[in-house]
Amino acid sequence: MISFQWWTVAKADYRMITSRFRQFRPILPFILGGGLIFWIFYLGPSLAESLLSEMDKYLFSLVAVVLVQFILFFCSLIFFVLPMMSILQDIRDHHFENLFSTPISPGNLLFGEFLGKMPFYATFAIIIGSFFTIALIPLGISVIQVLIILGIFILTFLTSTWIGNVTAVLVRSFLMKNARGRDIGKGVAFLIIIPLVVLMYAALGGYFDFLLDPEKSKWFGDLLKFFPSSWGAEIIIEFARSPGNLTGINPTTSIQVILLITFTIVVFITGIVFANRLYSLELKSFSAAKAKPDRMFYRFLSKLLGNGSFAVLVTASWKGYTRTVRNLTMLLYVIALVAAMNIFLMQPEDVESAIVSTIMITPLLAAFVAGEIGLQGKDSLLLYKHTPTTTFSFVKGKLGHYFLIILPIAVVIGGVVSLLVPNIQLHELLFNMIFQVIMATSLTLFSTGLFLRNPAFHDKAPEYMVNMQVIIFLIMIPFFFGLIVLDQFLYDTFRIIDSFYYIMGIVVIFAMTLGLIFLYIGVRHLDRLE
Amino acid sequence: MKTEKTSNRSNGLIQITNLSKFYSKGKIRAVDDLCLTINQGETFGLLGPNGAGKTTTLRLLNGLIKPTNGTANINGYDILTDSQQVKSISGLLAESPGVYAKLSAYEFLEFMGSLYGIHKSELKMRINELLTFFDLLDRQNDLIEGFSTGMRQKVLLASAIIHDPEVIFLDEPTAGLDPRAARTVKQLVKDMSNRGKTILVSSHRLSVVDELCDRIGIIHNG
Repeated sequence: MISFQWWTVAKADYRMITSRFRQFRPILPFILGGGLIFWIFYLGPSLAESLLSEMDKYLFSLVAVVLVQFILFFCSLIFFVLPMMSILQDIRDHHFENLFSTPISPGNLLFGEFLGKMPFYATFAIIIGSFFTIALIPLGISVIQVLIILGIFILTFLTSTWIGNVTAVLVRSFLMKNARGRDIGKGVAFLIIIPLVVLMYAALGGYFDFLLDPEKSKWFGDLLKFFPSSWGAEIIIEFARSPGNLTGINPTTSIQVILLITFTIVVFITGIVFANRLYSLELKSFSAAKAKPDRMFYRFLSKLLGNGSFAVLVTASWKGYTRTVRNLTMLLYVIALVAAMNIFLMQPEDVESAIVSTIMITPLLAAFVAGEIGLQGKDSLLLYKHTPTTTFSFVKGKLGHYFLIILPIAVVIGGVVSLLVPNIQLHELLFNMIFQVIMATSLTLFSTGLFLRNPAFHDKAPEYMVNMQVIIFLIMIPFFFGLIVLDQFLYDTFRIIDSFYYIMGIVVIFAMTLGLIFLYIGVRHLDRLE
Repeated sequence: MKTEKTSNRSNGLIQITNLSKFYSKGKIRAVDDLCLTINQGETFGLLGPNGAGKTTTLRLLNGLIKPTNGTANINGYDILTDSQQVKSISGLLAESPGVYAKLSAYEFLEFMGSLYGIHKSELKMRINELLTFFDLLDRQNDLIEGFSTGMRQKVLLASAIIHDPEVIFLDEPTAGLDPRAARTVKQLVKDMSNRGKTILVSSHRLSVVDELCDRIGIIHNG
């Protein structure tokens, strides 16, 4: 009926993304394009020329096809998952009610939204592809070959992104039909990143080193050939092997490239058709989730906490937290992270390495849990502030709830990771578990204090990200500083050879002091919050 | 069915026939067998408490969702078979619509107008006209994220009538507005009514529909 609506949507989407640079919007494509050309054809190759030896370049030109296939496959997965995460984390139907009251079809809307973001997706694809071309330019590949390689990257990654977009939008359409859809979407967004993290740890742990050996990796290459991400890999290798030669391309390679182009077109058309048929704003159910009467667990918890107002505060906070799917998947994510790290990356050989492998996890756990304190909005914090029991009761209740979640998980993580250590002694096992408990307690105090001092009222707010980084790095820095610098100091001054336990003692004291100070600062800030 | 029956069914611009929308396998009847005719140029008020089915009725009439039973005819177009045409000739102000907050008021109206297929030169004139009417001309280049609730509502209302539709659906049009902004919105509804537009206003406030509407229908439990 009305054509080119996708163009209107694309324009609006592009405007939204570039709203921060409104004054430079007309020249933005030129700046971006100019920057990329400078990097691809001058700066990148110059750097490669100075950093790579002749042998490196020669080896790079001989690199196994399967390695390129794997890199393209892995990057395609990232391009598939990231837009899905972004869309699922922000499920709102009001925005669509407004749009769909106009005569626009879902397919047009979806394609338009994608098109608006496409320059940025393509830029990202070009940057990744450029790491190949800058190493190949010194070997003498022509400009046309560079452009073909970058074109392959763009096609491969845009197809993945489009599939990710369509999938996420259809999932979003399904989730919007349910009252809890938004919450479930955020939960799913956290879960879908787990396979990527596992794959990344496996790669870092050397599980894919066999790809450098063409003989050993043949079966894997055959398997990857089923994925469209591999269909452009061979031409990149052919260019690397015969720089400047465009005429001698293997017919099979040409067919694969044609297949990739066809696949891209088919995927785009199918996505639009799917969106038109399956996307709707229909609600499936109006029924709201019902709270069950308090069963044994809550009655026990309440009794354990003295059945008073503190018990009510803790259980209420606990209920609110555990009824949110996103919170539960965040905990699952932390556990999956520990598991992947210990299985693929660093199998602990002694109690020290067991502690090192979990040192990043405890702050992450504390930050994820305590980070929720302001997510209900500023008004919720003010609500507690104006109660006669003062903010202290509120913070006490919250801390009780956080400890009940964080401490058991920290103990289990400490215990399980320690048990992976061959021939671990009982005292070592107990030490790690106690260490985890004290660290988890300190970090919970610290995280709560920090999120009260610098409240984040939305999980996409800059404050949320900043606090998360501060919590992780403020603990990791003294930990590794202690292991490197204090170790030497303790040996030089006191002739202590095995100083690990002393250093851990110092780290624990530091973390606890930091936790108490920040909690005090946070409560004071909440008292003054307006 | 709790609405007034019309005596002039055949002349109705909006003809609703046994319209129903059920959820949870029929356990929840959001709209239950609604029959109603609204004449051309009439302003009709749909009054009812929260959860009565007002928003669902408006969403059904605009073609956003499909009815379980029955149908409706808007200016000769059936909401089931001609939903795109229905959307082209109608405008909807949703109860709590989202906006593209990172667009300016002008850009947002330009965007919405383009979706309705308005020609560029005509669109420019129309946007200026609406921005002037809503007293937003000097804020036209400000991003919507910096607007107050009332100003956002004005922008949304302008976007609902950007294509000068024959039929206008307004869901709680004065919700969240201060008295001055509410008065502007009411004035606009009156102006549009005087220009012969057919308007369906849904509200839970008797004073709003009483002031604006020629006829009122009460809806309760669908």
